[in-house]
This record gives sequence, structure tokens and C-alpha cells, in this order.
Amino acid sequence: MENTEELKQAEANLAHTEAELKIVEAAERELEHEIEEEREVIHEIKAHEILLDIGTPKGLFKGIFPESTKVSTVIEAVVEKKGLDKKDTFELVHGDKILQPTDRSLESFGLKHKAKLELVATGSGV
Amino acid sequence: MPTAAELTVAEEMVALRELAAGRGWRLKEIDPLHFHLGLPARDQSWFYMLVDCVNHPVQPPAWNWCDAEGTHTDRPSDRPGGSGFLHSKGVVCAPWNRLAYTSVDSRGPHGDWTIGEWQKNSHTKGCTTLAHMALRIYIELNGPRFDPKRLG
Repeated sequence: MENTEELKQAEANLAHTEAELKIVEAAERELEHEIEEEREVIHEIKAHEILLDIGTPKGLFKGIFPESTKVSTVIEAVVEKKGLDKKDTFELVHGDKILQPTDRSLESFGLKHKAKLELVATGSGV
Repeated sequence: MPTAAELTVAEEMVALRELAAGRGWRLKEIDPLHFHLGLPARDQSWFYMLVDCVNHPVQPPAWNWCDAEGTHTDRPSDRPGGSGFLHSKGVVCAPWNRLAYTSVDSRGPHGDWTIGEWQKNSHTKGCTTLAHMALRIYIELNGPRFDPKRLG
């Protein structure tokens, strides 16, 4: 009798562990998939190109640009692609730096390979 | 039937969710008109906001600094120091924040703005959606106007 109870408990523990293992395996597969996607993107980047990951008011934008691209050209491309209002004036921000003046190139701001930027309407608070 | 505010918020939350997932922000949706958002700052600390979107977009949302659990909105220690948008009175100072209006909140620095005209206010500058507002606050917390010393 006691052995039967122990067996049931052991089976329940085993089922629980198997369920946890499946969750971990699924998460692992998802992570591997993400890594593979990142690898593919990185392989697409040629010399003197930058992968930009830009947070915009309409969600994320990812694109590859030559390092020599002017900031203003990037802003125009993102505004067009994300359907942002062209009447607004936007600025690109990298960490604590606003990428201005916008006629300078990406590389002149020290950007290389991959960079996370944010695109917002201009403003400094009131 | 959903209200106009609920429909607007539902539409605007799509971009905010995408940004939060992509940038590792902490977003908790409380109900169709309220959410809790955690944003990292330049000093690696986190700041949290309770956002009330009742009547949005007729009126702007209320962006209220709070604690990590969203239970306190009255503690200066939950508010960032700084200048510009990060006002010393403890509110985000912009026409797109309901709390910036003196008529709504006594801390609101602006008695000279009309809340019903917030989208036409020249200082709004296109910042009219929830994702745009969150991005602006994130940039301020990581920019030169942010002061790591909290207000309390």
C-alpha cells in the first residue's frame, strides 16, 4: 500500500519534471532560433555597413545602412517606412546623444556594425 | 461596447508593446485604460509610471511616477531629478501629460495651457501617442537632463 502511494508520488514528480523540461526545451529552441536569426542578419551586413535597430513612435524599425549615410537620410527612410507624419520634425538619439547636425554621417558619430537608436519628435521640455 | 478611449488605447498599445519587448521595458497592462511601465535610466536604476488613459485622446493621459509595484504615486523617492521634461515639481512637464496642468494637479507647472487643446499646443510637437510619449520619457531618463539624484 505504502509502496503504491510512493510510486504515485514518484510518477507525479516525474510528470511535473517532464513538463518543466518541455518548457525549458521550448525556451531553448526559441533562443536558438533568435540567435540563428541574429547570425543571418549579421552575415548580411557587409563591410562599412551598420544594422540600425530604431525605436520609433510606431514600433521598431530594423535596417542596414552604409556607414557614410547621413543621419537626415536615415530619418527620412524611417519616417517613410513607418508612415510617420512628415509634418513633424524628428531627431535620432543614441544613448545620451542627439545625432545632430543631421547632415553628418552615421560613422562620424562613432556608430559601427550595430546600433540601437530612438527616433522622436524634436523637443527639450517646457 | 468599447469606449472611444478604449479603442484609441488598444490601437496605440500595439506599438508600445513592441517597443517594450524590443527594449526590455517592464509593461503591465492593468485594464483597457491603465498600465504600469518600468523604464531603465542612465544610472541603471529603474523608474516606474502608472498611466491613466481615461478620456484619451480628448484629454492627454496622466503619466504618474510610482513604485515598482504601482501601489504608491505620492513618494518623491520614486521621481527622477533633472530638468526639462523631468520637472522639479515631480511631474513630466509636457502638454501630453495631464498632470502638467495646474487645473488637474496642484504640482502641474502650467496654468497657461488649455487641456482640451493639448494636441494643438506647439510644445506637443507630434508627441500624441502612448508609444511616442514613452519613448520621450525613456530618452529623457537616459539623456543629459536626467539627474540620478531622486526628488526624495
